[in-house]
Amino acid sequence: MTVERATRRYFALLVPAMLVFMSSTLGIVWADDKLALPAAAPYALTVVPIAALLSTYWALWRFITEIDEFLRLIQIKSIIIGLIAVMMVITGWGLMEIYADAPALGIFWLNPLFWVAYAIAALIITKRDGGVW
Amino acid sequence: MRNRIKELRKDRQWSQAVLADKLDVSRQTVNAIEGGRYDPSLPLAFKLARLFGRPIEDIFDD
Repeated sequence: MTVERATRRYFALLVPAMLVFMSSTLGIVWADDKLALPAAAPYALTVVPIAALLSTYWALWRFITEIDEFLRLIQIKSIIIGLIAVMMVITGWGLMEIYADAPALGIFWLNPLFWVAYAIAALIITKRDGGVW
Repeated sequence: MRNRIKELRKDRQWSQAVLADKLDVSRQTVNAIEGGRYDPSLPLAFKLARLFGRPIEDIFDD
């Protein structure tokens, strides 16, 4: 498969999945605030954004398996950097919460942090190594 | 790792895009291999060797 086709397939799944994730997340926040939902409802509704999130990671997995070995290496390096960023924040902020009374960091933000760090790393490594974004 | 891919490709008057197409990889991958920024896997090295009709050690040199 060409990288162009793999990229099209990637974004064709990633973008709608991200939109479903964001809108359902905002929907749960709104519903929890405005509607008299039963206590278990937010737990049940969380299935929707989690399914969308799983789709985003499936899109990334599929993209990596469909591109060639050099481009795959760039993506894998970028994912590792994204994970390192998440681990650094979890550990660093966790220590500050324990020992410096830092305000609690919502673990919800670790997923967006991963995607931002991954995207920045992919851009930098691609520019350096001559791959394609 | 040094290689003679650029020289062999130019002998045949192929562009990087043409070679990439023959190898079923991206042009960026051909560019990275030619520039020595990426060493190909063994299957891809064999593919290159078959395409150019030469042994691998004639194309790649460590």
